[in-house]
Amino acid sequence: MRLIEALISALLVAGLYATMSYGLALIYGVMKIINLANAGVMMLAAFTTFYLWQSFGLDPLLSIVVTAPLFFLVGALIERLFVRRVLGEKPVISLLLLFGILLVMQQGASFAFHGGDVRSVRPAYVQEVIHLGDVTIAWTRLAVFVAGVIILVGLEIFLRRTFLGRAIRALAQDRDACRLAGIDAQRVSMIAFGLGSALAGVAGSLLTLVFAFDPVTPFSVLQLKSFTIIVLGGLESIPGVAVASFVLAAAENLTVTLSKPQLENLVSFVLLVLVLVVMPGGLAALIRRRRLA
Amino acid sequence: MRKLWAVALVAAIVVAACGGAGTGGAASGAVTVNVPDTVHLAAALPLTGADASIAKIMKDSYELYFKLLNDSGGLQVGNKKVKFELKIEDNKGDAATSGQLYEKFITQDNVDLLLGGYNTTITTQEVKVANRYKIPYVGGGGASSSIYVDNVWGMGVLASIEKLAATQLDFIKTQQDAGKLPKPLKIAVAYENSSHGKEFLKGIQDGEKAAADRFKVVFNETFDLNGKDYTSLLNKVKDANADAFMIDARVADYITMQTQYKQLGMYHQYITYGPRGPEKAARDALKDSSDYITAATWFDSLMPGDNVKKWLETFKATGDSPEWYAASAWECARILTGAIQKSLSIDKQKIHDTLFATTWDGSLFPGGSIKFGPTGQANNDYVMTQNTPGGNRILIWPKDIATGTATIPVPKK
Amino acid sequence: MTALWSRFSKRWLIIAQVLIILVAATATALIPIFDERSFNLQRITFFLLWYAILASSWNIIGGYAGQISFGHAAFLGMGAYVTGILWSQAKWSPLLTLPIAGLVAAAYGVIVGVPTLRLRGPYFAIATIGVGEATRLFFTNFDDIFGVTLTKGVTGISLGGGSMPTIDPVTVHYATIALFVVTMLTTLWIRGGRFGLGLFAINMDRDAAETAGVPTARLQVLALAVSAFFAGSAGALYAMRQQFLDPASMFGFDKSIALVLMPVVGGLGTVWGPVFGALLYFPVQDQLTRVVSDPYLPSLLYGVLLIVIVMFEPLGIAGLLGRSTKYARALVRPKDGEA
Repeated sequence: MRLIEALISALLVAGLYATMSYGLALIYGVMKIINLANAGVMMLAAFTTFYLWQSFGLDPLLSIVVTAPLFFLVGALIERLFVRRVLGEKPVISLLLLFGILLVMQQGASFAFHGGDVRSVRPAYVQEVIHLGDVTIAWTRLAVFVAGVIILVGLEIFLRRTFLGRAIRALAQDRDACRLAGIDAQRVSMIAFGLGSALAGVAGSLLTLVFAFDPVTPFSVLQLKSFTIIVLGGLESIPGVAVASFVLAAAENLTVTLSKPQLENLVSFVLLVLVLVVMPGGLAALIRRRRLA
Repeated sequence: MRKLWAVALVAAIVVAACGGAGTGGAASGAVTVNVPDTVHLAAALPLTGADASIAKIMKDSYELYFKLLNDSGGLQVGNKKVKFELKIEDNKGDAATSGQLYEKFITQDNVDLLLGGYNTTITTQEVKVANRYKIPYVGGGGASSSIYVDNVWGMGVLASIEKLAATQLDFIKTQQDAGKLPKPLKIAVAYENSSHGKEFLKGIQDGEKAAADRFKVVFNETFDLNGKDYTSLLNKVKDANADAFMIDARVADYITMQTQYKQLGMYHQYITYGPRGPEKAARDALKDSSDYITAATWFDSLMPGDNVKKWLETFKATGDSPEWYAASAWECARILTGAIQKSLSIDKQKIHDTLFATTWDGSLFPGGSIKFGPTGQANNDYVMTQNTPGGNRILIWPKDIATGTATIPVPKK
Repeated sequence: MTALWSRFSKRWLIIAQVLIILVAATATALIPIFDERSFNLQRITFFLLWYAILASSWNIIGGYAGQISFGHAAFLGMGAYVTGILWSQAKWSPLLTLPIAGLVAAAYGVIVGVPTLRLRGPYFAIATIGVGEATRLFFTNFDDIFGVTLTKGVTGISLGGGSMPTIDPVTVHYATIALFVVTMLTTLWIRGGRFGLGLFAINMDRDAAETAGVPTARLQVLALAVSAFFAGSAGALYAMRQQFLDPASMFGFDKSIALVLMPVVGGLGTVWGPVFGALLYFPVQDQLTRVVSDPYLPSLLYGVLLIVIVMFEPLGIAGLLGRSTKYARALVRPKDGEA
């Protein structure tokens, strides 16, 4: 029984994990860079959500309407002003650059929002629960999960059905060929980066329902987890990210249930290293290999 | 390659031979017999990072103490008025950084005496540095007895965490005798993965050993700091079918865990988060979800006594909430300046001896006085509070200063 | 004629650099002799040299081989804990544990490097973040996992007390100077030799290097092992001097960040860049908190500095110096043949 509960709990957490990792995978796919600033965007979005809720009583779920476009712009600007200029350089350079941007975001926020004060967003329904037999599910967690699923479906439709989405996928596959086919690679990259940031922004809004936060925690830990997720998911596959999110969340919850709770965070890093050693292509490669065999 | 080494060797010899131009050292601190016009003190606090809000209050408390003292013309030492200069720097919540800062205070700034920082691990490193340079250190931010192993120069005003747990058990005993809690009480313990948490568990286990007919620990697990999802842990606690749930956690974790505890519809007849519970930040966030939580702390602003009331009035100048760490920082400053006054000197050894030999009366802490034990740690009693509806709280322990009757068992809702 | 001159000047260049290292070592070695109570100077010297060792060690894998490690504190902490455990449990003399600490860290480097360095792309950088955190959590929970009392978890290990052998701070001072000299000579040697050439080749173009017969994966793993060796040895020095270890202090992500910042700010891939970085980083860390009232500003400045350097002067301070004088350029140029 507890196992089922742990798995349901994992499924709910996976919604948040996936939302915060889609953007990372999208940006990696198109530009082949790791967006270390992802956690920074998430944190800024969480603060935006907090202040919207505090000042105007805006529901965190509704504040997505604000954070998504806002951080789309932020992301597009980061791409236009910084990332684009170092795209041709060694990967070291873009990593360091985005790391610098993350530091500026984190420390800037600490400076502006007076550091270590713990914030939490608590709308009226925070105590509401749903009973499914013996299993109790918090409404907030369910909402976060549903949002994660909607985003997954929406993203897949966008990437497969629209011209822009196809351009993004094409760019992820072969940048040079795209240029030959007349796709404006720079423009599409900017949009992809913006989209990735918007997704991080949405994740930031959603997580305020689940976490108490300050400018650093829990974003650093979550960032590390999203690395595990995208590596596990095969770096650029959106469905891969969704599956990997669940695998990670399940591994964590089962560790807590069956073993020692304090090992929860260790699991994701051990998983990361294991995946790198055993199947560097991630789950996506594993599935592909199966299909070929 | 061989030639290179030969050249290097020759170079080394030449350099060594004419190496007279080496740099001289900093002036060594001569022993002062008389008290100087200005005494220099320093402390490192985690002004940034997870404990920043706590550190800010401690900083305000230290600074207010010395501002008032200096404004009044200074501390009367014998026939002389002495002013104080206090340096406070940020250790980012990192033990290594704090150790380096204290070493800088001592070697570069030549401070006379040291005030303490916050959190057990960091304080351990600070006391280490104080011992290495043989400088008295009075701290109010670390309660673990592990700080005071092999210690001579460090002193702490906070009683141990084991005692915190024992106080809670003492309180529970009275509730058992009144028939409000079952005997034996089945206890589930969840504690943060730190020395603080481990000593909390140890305190409860010691109590269990001493009174097996009263207490039975049916579950104990540790969890990582800054967790986000405690539902799996809480489900395990649920399965343990305990009567009481005793947790040791930091404020952020307390907020997250208590929210999920309520969401899971869990109930225990007695619930505590160790020293956490009545903090303003947590009550604001949790509202009625934090009702009926009991806490044991080193100080509470509800405590009676004229000097507590006077201090609360004085402390208003900072605009901060008068949490226990504000009082403990104040006590450190009060005791350290008292030691200077009493020993008519800032000689390290004399201050050290005075600190140990004196019973520091007029204290804000329970009992009204502080006496450092042989290891350097004070051993005052704890006070216990219980949160009551409407964001209020009452003092429930010790009995003679209680401001209300505890609602035990916690009402089911 | 030009060829002869260039060979001649190249040799002198190396000799000059060795001389600089030895002068620095001698000058710092004299400090406790002239004034044994010069505690502040000894403190500053220790941390300057210590950070220079760490930055230079990171530079071997991050600068020369071009593989960014975001988890180098894992090696630093590993070395510190090896010394800490051997000292507190086995009661070994701490100085004896230093080479062991370095070797264990190097072995850990090989374990981490073999699976991750054979992959292309940013795998290594991501993996090192995971390795750094995993190592921290592993040491935090070590005692609970194995049911022993070795690392004492978050409580930390207190060293040098009780029945443990003691170590004189002046001895640590000299050990630090010795390790500094060895580290600098090693990075100088790597940069000038075939090993360094191979690493630079991989850094420039891995495919081309492979085609030219450079054993790319093996060289990179070796670079990581050497790098980890020095980081681990530096960790041992830290344990001897500060005599207190806790997982957050030793393995914290902020420590790994510092190790990235110093060489990048100083000059990625140059011999002296990391030293410049350390010379800037420690004083800023040590004294800026006095000048700047807000505790968050220094880190904010590092972020801005990082962005500016990456975008405008990838060679950092070394690059700036290189622009100003011909001689400095000779000292700091990143690779042979580039003027």
